[in-house]
Amino acid sequence: MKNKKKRFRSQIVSTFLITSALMYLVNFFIFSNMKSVIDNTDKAYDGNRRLMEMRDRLDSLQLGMQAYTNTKDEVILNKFYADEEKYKELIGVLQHDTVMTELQIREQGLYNLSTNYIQTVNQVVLAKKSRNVEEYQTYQTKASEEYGYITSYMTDLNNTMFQNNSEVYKSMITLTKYSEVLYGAILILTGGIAVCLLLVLTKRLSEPLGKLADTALEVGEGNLDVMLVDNSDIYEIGIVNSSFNQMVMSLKDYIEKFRKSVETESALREKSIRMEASYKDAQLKYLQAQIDPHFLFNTLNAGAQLAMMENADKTYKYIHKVADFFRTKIKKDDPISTLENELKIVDDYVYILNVRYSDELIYTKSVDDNLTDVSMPSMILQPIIENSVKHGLSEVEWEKHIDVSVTEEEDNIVVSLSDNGVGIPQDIIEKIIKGDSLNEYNREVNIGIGLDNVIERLRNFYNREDVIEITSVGPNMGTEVAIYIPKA
Amino acid sequence: MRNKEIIKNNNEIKIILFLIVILLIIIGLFIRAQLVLKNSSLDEKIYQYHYAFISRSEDSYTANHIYEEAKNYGKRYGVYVEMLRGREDINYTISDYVKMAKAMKVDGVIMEASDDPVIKESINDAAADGIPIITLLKDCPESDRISFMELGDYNLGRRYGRIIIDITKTRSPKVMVLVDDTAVDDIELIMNGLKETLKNEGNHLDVDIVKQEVDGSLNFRLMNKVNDILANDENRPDIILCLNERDTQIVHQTISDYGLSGKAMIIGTGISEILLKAVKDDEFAALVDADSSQAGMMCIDAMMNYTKNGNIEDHIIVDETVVTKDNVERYLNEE
Repeated sequence: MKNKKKRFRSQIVSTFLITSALMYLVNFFIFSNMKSVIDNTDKAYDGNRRLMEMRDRLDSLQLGMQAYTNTKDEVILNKFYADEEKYKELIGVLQHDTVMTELQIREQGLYNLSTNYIQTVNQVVLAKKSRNVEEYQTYQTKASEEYGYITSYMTDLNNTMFQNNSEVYKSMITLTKYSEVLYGAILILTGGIAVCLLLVLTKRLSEPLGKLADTALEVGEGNLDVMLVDNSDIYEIGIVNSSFNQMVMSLKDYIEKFRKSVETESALREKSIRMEASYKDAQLKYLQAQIDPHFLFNTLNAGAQLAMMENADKTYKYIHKVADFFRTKIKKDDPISTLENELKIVDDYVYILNVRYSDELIYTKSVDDNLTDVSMPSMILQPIIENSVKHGLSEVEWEKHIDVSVTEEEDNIVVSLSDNGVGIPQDIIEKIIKGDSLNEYNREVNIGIGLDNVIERLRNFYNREDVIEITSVGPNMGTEVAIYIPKA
Repeated sequence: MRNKEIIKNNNEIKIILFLIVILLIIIGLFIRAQLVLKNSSLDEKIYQYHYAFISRSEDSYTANHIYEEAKNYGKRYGVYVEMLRGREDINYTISDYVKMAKAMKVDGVIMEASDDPVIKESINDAAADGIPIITLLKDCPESDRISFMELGDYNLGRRYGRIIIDITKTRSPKVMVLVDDTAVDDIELIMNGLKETLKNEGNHLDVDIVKQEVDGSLNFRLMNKVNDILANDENRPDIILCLNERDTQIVHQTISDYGLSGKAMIIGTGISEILLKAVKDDEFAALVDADSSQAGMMCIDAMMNYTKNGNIEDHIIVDETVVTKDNVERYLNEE
């Protein structure tokens, strides 16, 4: 359902308008009622006043008729006719339809009496004008008689009306007293309704603001898991609430991102420390294995010079290569090397071995020189070749091959180091890759720098798991170690 | 939480609605009270016919009761019955009222008449103008009135007879009938009814009926006569029967003035407050008058029938009512 919200201003204005309209209506009602009561009270004796006026005019007419019969004065006659017209006009209101109330029926009786009388007095005047004494005297008596009837009836009617009007007046007075209490009650109730409406409005405004303040306080104290429920139907409050919620959510997001960045940074730092530790470990092991490489290097150099002086070229080359090999080792304090350097170490190492073992190792190398200028951890390839020679090829009777190739495959540079030795059982390969029991295996095979150290350093350096692959298809089928170096 | 808010808001709206409903109820009650007060003070009944009621005396109990009955009964049929009254300073006659009714062009006149020629003339004048007139209790013979509603003299005599049988304490009561010399014509029928009843229903009694003629024009003569009759132990009657309201009132006045209460049982005709009290105080044994309720209804019915159909009986007999000590309280309460 669409929640249509109103602006605070329009709510205030509409509440004000409603309460004002209510007050105006009630006041209008009270005013019109009071007016009606006052009007009715005023009108209560209207009938009596009218009858009194009629009576005065009737007296005037009767006196006029008598005066004319006595004096036959035209002025009096004119006044008589004026009175007659006025009287006719006055009694006009007494004429009613055939269906009448009690009062109307009596008014109609009075009207009939009056018209009868007017007819008679006119006959008197006519008879007087025509000097018919007997006739005008008869009519005059009749007119006086009828005048008496009218006044008599008028008095009776007036009394009845007065009685009725007194009742009306009494009712109006009662109603006025009754009204005073009721008007008070109505005004109090209307005021109550107006106050209630204002209370509802102020509550609608103050409650959500109070909640906003409380929630802001909570957020200030560090609790970001609070949300404002927007149940206000005031538009501005809705906006403030949703903006506040948005602000709290943004704050939460920011804090989360900051936390993650700190975590990543510390993980990187940890990785770097671990790599350094591994390298130091490798170095230590070499240092342990070669008691004093400087001494050995100097010694070897002395040997090489001696061989050159004796013209023993092969000896000189061999000793020189061995010296180069150790010099490279000693120079490389930096844990990061290049593929080219690593291949050079391998070349030197294989040459030394071939000298030692009378060219037993057939070393082939297929390298794309464009790919060798890539960074990689130092002391990686030589330990693998060393492992191949020691474990894969040491006891084979057939021709021993070591093949090194550097190729490109999708996003990786693949360095493949393979032999045709006894191979490695699959379960051992899995353990080596997983890093399980490596220490035990390495210990068992007594290698200088173990494959575990090589794999760990590769994984740390490239920050991925699938950096090395060891393949051995079966016993005596050789082993291939492939290192996947991501392209820069 | 949202639901709570909604419930809270609903409660507030309910309170406001409740106040508005109370406000509307109060305003409604106020308007209603206003209308009730306005209407209660005036009779807004609608009428189609206007009948004039003329009685010989404004103090006549029976005439007033017949008028009240006729007025109330007439309301049902849209007939407004108006008792014509004169100003206090002018003593209008019956004839004047008839002339007044004629000038007012009423639809009908119900009146207590008499055989006065002036009244007869006024009745004839009004009748000539097409106003139907019914005479009530007292007739104006030979006039152009359309009907006369009366007690029925023979029936009245029978009623007197039954009262005498009921109240007599001796087997040979002496009954004195006061006969007004101004109304001798009516007497014979009454006497016939009386005698007939005493003969048939009171054959165990030996009733001695004496007619005592009294002067109908001078009250003091009647008073003296009554005083003489009651003060005389030897010829004093057991029962005195008054045949009209005037005689009854004078007899009562005489008894009161001379302390003659209990000397004889008095049967009166006509009802008034004083006479009802006299019955209550055992000064009178019984009062006989027309049944005002019946008379009131009958004259309206008769007039309406004439107005609508043109039919009416020349004489309408109305039942009589008897007031004794047993039922006098009811009449006094009505009074």
